[in-house]
Amino acid sequence: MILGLSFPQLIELILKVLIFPGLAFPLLFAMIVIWFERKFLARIMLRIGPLHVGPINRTGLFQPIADFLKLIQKEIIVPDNANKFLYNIAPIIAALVASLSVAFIPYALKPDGSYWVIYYTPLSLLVILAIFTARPFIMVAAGWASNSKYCTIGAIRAALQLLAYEVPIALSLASIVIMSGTFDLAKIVEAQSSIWFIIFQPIGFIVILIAMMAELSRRPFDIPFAEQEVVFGWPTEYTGAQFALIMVSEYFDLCAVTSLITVLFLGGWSGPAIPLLNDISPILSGIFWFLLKMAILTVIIIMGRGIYPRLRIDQLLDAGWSVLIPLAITQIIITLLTAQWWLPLVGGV
Amino acid sequence: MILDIIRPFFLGFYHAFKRTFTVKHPFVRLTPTERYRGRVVLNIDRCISCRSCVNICPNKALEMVKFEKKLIPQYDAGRCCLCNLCVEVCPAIALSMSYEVEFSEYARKGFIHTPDRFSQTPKPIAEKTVTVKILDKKRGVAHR
Repeated sequence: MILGLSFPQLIELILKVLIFPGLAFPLLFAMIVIWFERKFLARIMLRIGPLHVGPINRTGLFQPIADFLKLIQKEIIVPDNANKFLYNIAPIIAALVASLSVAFIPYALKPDGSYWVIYYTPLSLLVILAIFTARPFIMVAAGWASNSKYCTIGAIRAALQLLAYEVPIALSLASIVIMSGTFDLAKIVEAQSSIWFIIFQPIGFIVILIAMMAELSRRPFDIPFAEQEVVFGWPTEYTGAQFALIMVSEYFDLCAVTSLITVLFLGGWSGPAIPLLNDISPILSGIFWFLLKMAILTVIIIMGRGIYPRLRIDQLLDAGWSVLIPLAITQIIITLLTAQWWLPLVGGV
Repeated sequence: MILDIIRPFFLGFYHAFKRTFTVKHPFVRLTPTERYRGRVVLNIDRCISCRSCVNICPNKALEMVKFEKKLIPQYDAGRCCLCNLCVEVCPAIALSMSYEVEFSEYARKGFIHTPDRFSQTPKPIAEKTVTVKILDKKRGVAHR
């Protein structure tokens, strides 16, 4: 008995924290997604992309690792007039906060009826919403601490962008909560055992997808980064390992967001059992479906960078307040009006 | 408006599975076109030492030096902007443009082409070459 856990429970906890939803998974996700993003965007632009690094010839599979190794060798430069403490601590907090949210997302159902999640809480949806809201404050802190015009402008843009996406996210989560009657992500997945919520709430899905793309600052909404205008936005002054941490935290966030949308709208781990994986463990089958849904969402989110031009900040705010919020409210009204039809179909609540 | 938002997705996927236009340069090269402007090459036998090229060069890349009892221009590739003026002005048609463009050297001295080096024609491109026309034919799209 260690920490009040029996030996198998301890092994399971270590497995969770270090390998699957814990440490290794977001890092691996970041590596694969960075590689895929470079390769896929290159193909959209009729280029080839990274070629030479890695085991399989002509794929450049290890290019993100090579980039990361190069970045951590570089000198860390702190600007003279920067607020040194805040400047140095911001990338670490960014990476920590970004990787924190995977701890609350259930990834599979275990045979004994509990969930494959690092920390189970019945209010996990609220916790994750709070974690997502914390990110712009780190951006603003880092941008202000850098004491450079590009960083400050980027940080202010990030803060303005928060106004556009935060309310639509909350409103479309509200219609999910109305439908499932709980803030517990695992219970939300169980409520989708018969029909996924994307069937009931297509408008809510589109609203949350767009708002989350703005939250992640992906291409049509990459206003805080806007290379042509503000060099690289709020992380402009960062170099070396700190820059690597910031880049990795972006992809941790992408991991958390795609996981969250999968849980909320695409039925999480639910799906037909895969014969070969199911024989080893039914958990693996659930994880397979979860990762497949995550992958599809990731492709959609990444694709924006290859196909859309960037919006202006006023266009984004306009779209957020005059399109997304009315759509989200419409979704709530539709959900409430059609309660008599969906109520028998939502299982487990 | 909704169609305008969705259509790029299909276009993106359509393009992602097309053939790429990239020419992997050090391994495969584009065949130089007929009027390609690379390094200037001198034909010493034709040169009449008239200094026209030295006078017209905007970057002072050419300089007269003594070579085998004759004044011959010496060429500094680091200064040359490949403007073609010396070739146009040469009355004896002793100068011409070649396809050589890779000038990198470890020291600035390495850029200076003394008359005997200046008069050497660059090595023919030994590697595999691809012409733009073949590329177009393969991809089915013309460069615009």
